[in-house]
Amino acid sequence: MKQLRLFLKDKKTWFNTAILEFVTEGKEALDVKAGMFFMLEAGTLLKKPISVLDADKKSGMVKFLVRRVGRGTAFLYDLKPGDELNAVGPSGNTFPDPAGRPVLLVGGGSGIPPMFFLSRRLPRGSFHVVYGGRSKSDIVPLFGKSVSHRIMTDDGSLGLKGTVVKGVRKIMKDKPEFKNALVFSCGPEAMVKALNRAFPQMEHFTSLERYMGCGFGVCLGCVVQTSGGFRRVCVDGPVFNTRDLEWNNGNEN
Amino acid sequence: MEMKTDLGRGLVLKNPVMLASGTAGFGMEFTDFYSLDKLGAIVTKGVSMEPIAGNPAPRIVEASGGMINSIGLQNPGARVFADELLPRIREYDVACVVNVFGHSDEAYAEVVEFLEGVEGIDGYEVNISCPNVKHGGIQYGTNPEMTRRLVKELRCRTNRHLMVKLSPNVTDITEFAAACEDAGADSISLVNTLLGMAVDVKTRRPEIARIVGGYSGPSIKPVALRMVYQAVKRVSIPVIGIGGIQSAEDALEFLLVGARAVQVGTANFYDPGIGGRLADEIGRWLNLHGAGSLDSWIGSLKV
Repeated sequence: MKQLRLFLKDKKTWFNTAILEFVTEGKEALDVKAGMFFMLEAGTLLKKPISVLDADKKSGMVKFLVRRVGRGTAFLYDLKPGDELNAVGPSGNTFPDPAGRPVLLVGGGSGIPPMFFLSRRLPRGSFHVVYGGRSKSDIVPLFGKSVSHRIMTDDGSLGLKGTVVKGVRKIMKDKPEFKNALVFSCGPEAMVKALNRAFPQMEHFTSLERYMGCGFGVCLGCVVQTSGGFRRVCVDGPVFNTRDLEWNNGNEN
Repeated sequence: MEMKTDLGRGLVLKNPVMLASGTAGFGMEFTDFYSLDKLGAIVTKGVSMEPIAGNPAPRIVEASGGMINSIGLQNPGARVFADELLPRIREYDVACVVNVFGHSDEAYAEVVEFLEGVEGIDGYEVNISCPNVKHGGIQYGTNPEMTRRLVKELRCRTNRHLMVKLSPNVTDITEFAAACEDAGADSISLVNTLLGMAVDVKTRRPEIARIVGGYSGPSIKPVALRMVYQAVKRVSIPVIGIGGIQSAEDALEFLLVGARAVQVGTANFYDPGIGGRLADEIGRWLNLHGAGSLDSWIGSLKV
């Protein structure tokens, strides 16, 4: 983990979402895996944890996807090419190695970054993406035609009408090899819980989002209750096996 | 520039920069950013005899130039600290002050007695100011008689440096400073967090699960500075300044009003490298402004 400076090279927007492409001289900090995040300066006192969308150590490139929801994300959304930012990271663990098993990559709304990251690295044919949102404006056009992906929207304004659960069912029906797939997810907790309810037999790892104070393990602010007690989402996670999460068993926190 | 500072009873720091309890864990998270050798001291997360799981989430939120936390003294207990965490701190040339906590006089005494049998501890900071537990902590720190009684109890159990961390949630801080001095404390550190609260108008809910928590960060600095100034005037034992420090100049302000050392707290969260830079920056500033020495700067406020 390092403190580093990021320079905004390029920015693309899609409704309330921005894709920010930075370059940095701190290339050694870009040994990043899916699920990892950086704490980004965001015009607030505390930095904000933002998941890595893509990174390339050689060129010093790191991309983030930010949806404008509060003060910090509005600051990031409003950045302009040429702007500089302080960052701390990378932080967090990653998803397990599928070791040849097929994987369903399920992303809800702004939870898509780790799924996109994985889609760029897993062998073609070994995974299928399910990308869900309330409507078209939630679905950032990230995936090319050559990437197996299914888009689901609540209002049917893009892709198929329905939730990601329906999307997963459809894939399992069309491609039976995904019946015993691993599920990797990132999105609203309601989505993660719905997936677990619908497919209780499937091994399911999810990347959690939490308010964080430091993002590197000292403040103990971002804990989640697991079968092994409180765990820090920032460094013990953000990726957890959903079977270990107490909130998934009906207990809050 | 000579940066050494003597806090009494053998606790001499090579520089006046300490990491505040609860913002530095047990130090290891900072080793990615700088060597702990750069610090005068680290004050550990509050250690109780038995492990404490801590409070339900959400535990933390930003609020008006600072933040509110209610962690609830989550810690692995004194045995794990002694066996697994302290040895790693001891690999560095840094003083280790253990913040100690208990729910009662007996529980505070028990943890100190246990740690007395452990090598490599440079002093204790008695936590009588944590606002986020039902028993112990602030219950002591807002009652001068309980403060006096507890410090006496602990004084007769150790010859190590005994620092007491005071709460700002009192009318007259000097009363507590004097009680600590009378009872045999070697130094006092102040301030812990101010009691605070944040609510969300959209959900109509408190932002912290325990509703109120400890408010810290740059916005509390003027309150802290005033209390350190008052305490320095009242007692002759060393005072350690804490509250919103995020730059060399902030630290110099506390030293100017008479603090013999400072602790960096909340800034560790948003600027993890600060502990590694601050002593050098303080030294450079003193040099640049012809201050002579750290000692001559301390308490040199002109009024």
